[in-house]
Amino acid sequence: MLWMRSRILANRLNRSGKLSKALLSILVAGSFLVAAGLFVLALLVGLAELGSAEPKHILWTWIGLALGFLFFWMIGLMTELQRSDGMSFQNLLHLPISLGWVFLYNYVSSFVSLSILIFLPPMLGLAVALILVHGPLMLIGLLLVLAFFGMITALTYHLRGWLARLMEDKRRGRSIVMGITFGFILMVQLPNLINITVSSNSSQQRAEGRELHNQSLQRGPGQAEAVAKWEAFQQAEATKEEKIEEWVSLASMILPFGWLPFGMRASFEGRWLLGLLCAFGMFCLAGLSLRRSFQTTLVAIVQGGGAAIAVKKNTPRETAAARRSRGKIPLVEKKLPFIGRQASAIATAGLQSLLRAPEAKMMLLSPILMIGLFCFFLAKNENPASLQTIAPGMALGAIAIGILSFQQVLQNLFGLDRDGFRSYLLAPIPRHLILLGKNLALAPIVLCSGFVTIVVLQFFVTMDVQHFLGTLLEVFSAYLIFCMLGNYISIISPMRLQGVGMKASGAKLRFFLLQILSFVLNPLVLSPLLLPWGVESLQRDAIWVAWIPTYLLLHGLLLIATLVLYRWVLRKQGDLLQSREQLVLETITRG
Amino acid sequence: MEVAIQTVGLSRSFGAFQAVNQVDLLVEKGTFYGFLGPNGAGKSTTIKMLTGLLAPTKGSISVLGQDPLVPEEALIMKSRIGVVPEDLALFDNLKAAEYLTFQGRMHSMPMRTLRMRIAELLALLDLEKDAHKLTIEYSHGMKKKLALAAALLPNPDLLFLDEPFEGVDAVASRTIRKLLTDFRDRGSTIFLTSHVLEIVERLCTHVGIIVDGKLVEQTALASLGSGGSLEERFLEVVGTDVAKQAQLSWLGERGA
Repeated sequence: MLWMRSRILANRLNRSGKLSKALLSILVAGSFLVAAGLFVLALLVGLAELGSAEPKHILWTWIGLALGFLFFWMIGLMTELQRSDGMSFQNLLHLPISLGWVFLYNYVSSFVSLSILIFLPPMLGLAVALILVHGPLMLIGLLLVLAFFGMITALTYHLRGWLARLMEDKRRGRSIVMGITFGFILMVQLPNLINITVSSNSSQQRAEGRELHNQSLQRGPGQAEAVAKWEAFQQAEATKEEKIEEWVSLASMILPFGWLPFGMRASFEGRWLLGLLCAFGMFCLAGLSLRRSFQTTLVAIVQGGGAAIAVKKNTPRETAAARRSRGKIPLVEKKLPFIGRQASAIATAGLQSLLRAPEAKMMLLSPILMIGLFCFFLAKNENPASLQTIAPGMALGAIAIGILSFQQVLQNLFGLDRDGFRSYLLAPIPRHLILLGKNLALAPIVLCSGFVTIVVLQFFVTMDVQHFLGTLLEVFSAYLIFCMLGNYISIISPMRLQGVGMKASGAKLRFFLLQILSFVLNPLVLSPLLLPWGVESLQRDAIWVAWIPTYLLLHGLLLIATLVLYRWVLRKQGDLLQSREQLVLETITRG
Repeated sequence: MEVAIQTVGLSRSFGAFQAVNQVDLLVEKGTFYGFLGPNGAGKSTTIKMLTGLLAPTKGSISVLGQDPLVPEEALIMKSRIGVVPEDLALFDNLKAAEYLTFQGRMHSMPMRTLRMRIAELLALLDLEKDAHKLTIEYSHGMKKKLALAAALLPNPDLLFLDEPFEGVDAVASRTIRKLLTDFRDRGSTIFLTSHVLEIVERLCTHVGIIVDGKLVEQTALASLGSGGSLEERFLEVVGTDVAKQAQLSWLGERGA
């Protein structure tokens, strides 16, 4: 089986082209170098710092590492929600072999991830440093690290398998993907929210502390009282810290995810039995998880996947004809004003697909959360007037971030179409109209998100009418600019998307790199939209033209210019698509 | 004689592999042309080139008098053909009626006609009861039927069907056969590939056999040879010795 797996990998590598092979080799070598570097760095830091460390330092350090790992690990889970086994059970079930080894192989394969590459080496480095500094008893630390990774990977593997089983029922799969993704996105945003809240609170406390300290230093009749207040403040702060540590310690003891830091601190304090117990507990959880996962995998296969657990409700559904009789025209039949019938068809069918695709819904959630975060940030600001002068810049930033969150679709327009892309090529339609239709399909979602952002900004930072209207026009211009870039990237570096999720698969490495490069450079293409704000700033010094609504006018002109440019570019991009359509088809439909 | 499809020296290679080699096809209008060949012979590659999904390495193509390699002519050609490609062309997240509506609108069909035809096609191909499902939830056979419905929808002059009966149940297969015969009878042309020789024998008026990328036979089915079945002729042309293939040195032994 290992030979078969190695042949599959080798064949896949041989097919990927010389450049991809070279880049992959560099990537693998680089990964090993990074891992080794992180191990050495953690070892050196540990040797330098751990000699004078207190138990609470050990606790906090390992909590930080564990939480950091969990955070990145969860992001990985979001991009690949279902378990995708390296070796398919279905293909091996008829052979007279033990599937336990296949399961183990698949489980070990799941270790190949960026999160483990980044976190395991420094954790091991730090654990080795602890052994060197505090003696062989800290060998328990190594055991704890391995148990922690074993537990997390086993639990995740179990979860992924369970989700894969549930998702055999595709409709239910969509709801699951939605729910879990929403949770994950919230979790991803959590550090931001905590950062904003904590930094705001702690800055207030620091200011209060500074004030009390300054008062205590001022000589005079009230000095004694000020000193007493300062001491009481310090006392309260110390008590608060102790309380937090107590709570964190308790949480670490109760939650299995905290057994790594808790066990580390216990071992560090000489309570080696407790440390061993933590490691044992995590190993047990890993073992139980794997055992359960193996059983459910076998049961799922024998029972025919999710069919055994799928319960379908045969609720009567309203037909399109019935909806039409009520005067409700189905989305795919709608004709867009001023747009040709064929481009309208692509736009409406594209929008309908997007609204149903769970992978797209995942993506659509992020701007909503982004807006929520934006609201939170603006609400926390105590001086809205200070934001008024930079409101146009903030608006552009918010629009850019909003549109960038749709980048996975904007820059890979045909990825979600999969086999459906063949329909475009077989249809009697000029290629530039395909691009127009695809851009129009996304427009309602992206523009709505942009407008909501602007309205939110207007609510918190009241802009005058000129700036508000100008910023609304800016949303259109920004979208058109991103469309031009997105069309181009979609044509020259198309990528196939996997069944569920926005994870690209099987694409050439240079396509990936191009996508990443464009992602990084994307904000730069919006720089012309800063022009009205810049000109307006210069205009402030010239009183004789101060009455002209430069900001609004220039944004109007910019929108017209962008439209003209878009129209011209679209034709050129249509020709480009025509010349590369077979390559695009081959890439996005490759199984 | 009016020609529906003509290729001259049509070739396609993938690296060193020659998938289609100097194929000269001639399909008259109104014929039911069966394009046969063993697995990997180049049937689907040929259909892809004829429908504009793949560019040939060499040679020329004319489909309904248009060259699919010239963009303007390709548009005219595509407005007059219907295609069921090998890997289909469905959108995962559309329902059957929505997909057909999309296809009809791409052919600029009036909405009233479109609705009427969609209803008829869904009923005829027994897809009505699954109309609320997304195409991603369809079985392979149902997907084939939907793709066929999409190909028939604009009432094309020429149909390209790549393995249209694959995975389709017996009842639907009979319906499709009747449908295609009626389609041919009204003067349209059908270009079909299939591994089921009985179906080809029953439906087609002409056959072409491709082996290792080369067209080795192209004739009217009636003139294939007196007394011999299509299967016999096919095996003869393909050059497979069935008796020799069926011999395995170890077949008489028991155990591993």
